[in-house]
Amino acid sequence: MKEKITSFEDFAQRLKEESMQIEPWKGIVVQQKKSCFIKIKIAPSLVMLFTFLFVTSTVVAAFSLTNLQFFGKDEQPMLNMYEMTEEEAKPHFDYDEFMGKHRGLLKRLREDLANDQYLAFLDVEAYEALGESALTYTQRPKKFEDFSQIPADFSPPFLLKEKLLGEIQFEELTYMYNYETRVDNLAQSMYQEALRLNVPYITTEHKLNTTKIDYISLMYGGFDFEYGFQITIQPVSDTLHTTENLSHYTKVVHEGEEFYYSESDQTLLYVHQTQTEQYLLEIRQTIVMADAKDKIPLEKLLAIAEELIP
Amino acid sequence: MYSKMMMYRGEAQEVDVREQLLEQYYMEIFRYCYGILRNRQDAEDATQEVFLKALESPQLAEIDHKSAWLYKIAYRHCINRAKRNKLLQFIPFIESAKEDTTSIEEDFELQTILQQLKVEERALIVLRIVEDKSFDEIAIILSITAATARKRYERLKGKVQKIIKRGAFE
Repeated sequence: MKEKITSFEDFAQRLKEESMQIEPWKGIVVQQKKSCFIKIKIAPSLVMLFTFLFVTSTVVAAFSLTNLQFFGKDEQPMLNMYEMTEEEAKPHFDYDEFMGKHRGLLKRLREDLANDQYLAFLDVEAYEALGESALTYTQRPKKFEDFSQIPADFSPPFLLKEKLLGEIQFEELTYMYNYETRVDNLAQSMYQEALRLNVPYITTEHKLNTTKIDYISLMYGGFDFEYGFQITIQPVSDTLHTTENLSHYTKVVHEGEEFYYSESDQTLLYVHQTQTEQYLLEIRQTIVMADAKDKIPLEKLLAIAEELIP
Repeated sequence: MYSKMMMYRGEAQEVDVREQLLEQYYMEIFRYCYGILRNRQDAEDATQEVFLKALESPQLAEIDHKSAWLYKIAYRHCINRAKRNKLLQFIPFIESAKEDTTSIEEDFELQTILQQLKVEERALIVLRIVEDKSFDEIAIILSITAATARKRYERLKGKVQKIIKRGAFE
């Protein structure tokens, strides 16, 4: 059992100790004859980093540090984005820690799921500590790397283009269906069943609502281009809580439309309303420039937004 | 396409330069990538991609400071890799590296602190603490000034201390 980390010095020491244990499995790989390096395996691993965790809510936080307010053309408020206080964010970090140990397992379980199924996963210990919010829903994201393979009936709430600004090539589309068919009191019944079976976690499978998409991610560009972009779209209600630091976003009004722009993250946020839904659109530059000072101009992000918004 | 210098040196010497580069820096770069990505498989893949890129570079033989150059490539590569895989999720859990760290003694406390730092911040922490780089060297790798590197590191120390104090991993 390791000692608890109580200071930055402890942290630095533990980091050093850990680094001394790390060795690559594959070792150094060189093909001598042709004097070229062989890339053995580039596994498409889905690393989920939750530095930008959104939690939808209709309850307005009383002590939020920062918020972004989006207004429509008619001056009506569309969306309030709140940065969580440390206190509010803590349960989410606690939850992350509980679920961290199941990462590999969840990945394997997702791979076995049918396209129209989702998995409900409950860790007994997490439920006892966090209650209902310990219940995890997961599904196998639908992924397309060839633009021509995107199903004809896929109809996103924006213009789907093979090239952005006429030059930046489509790389990947990922989307996930809605979990609308959630079961009432599921966490509690799963918990009881897990206790009865005396297991540390329990799963159940359910039908996704495949008529509704909850999350879309588009990748454009990459190393062969000057820029790379990830565009994400998700339906939102009138309030979002986030663990992200919102203080570096500034409001930009472009041709009557309101955007929020973060120069440090090279990210543009926009709320798009259709007749039935509203969506949060995030356009992010993903390629780090050789010269870190060489940021993508805001105008380019706005031009992309213009291309996407119908 | 190789530079004139490479063509003049010929194939045999070109092999030497490449092998030397691999032998000398592979472990360092792997450790660096692991520190940023916090996942062994991703670090393996990233390191191989970094060296693939470096060894295919026409400027390879002409680079004087190969170490800084490799760190620079690795930095860009890992940040891009992490950012490109970043997904806005409705399923709020962090995929920690348990499955991928079978031979590394698990340190959930350390992992939890590092997961709360941005990838760029982890890169700086690893350069300073694990690789023991000076702020001048860090400045070259991260394309910033030494003063900025120092300032960012001090700020990061404060952030880590705050995370420890908050005890999110308790």
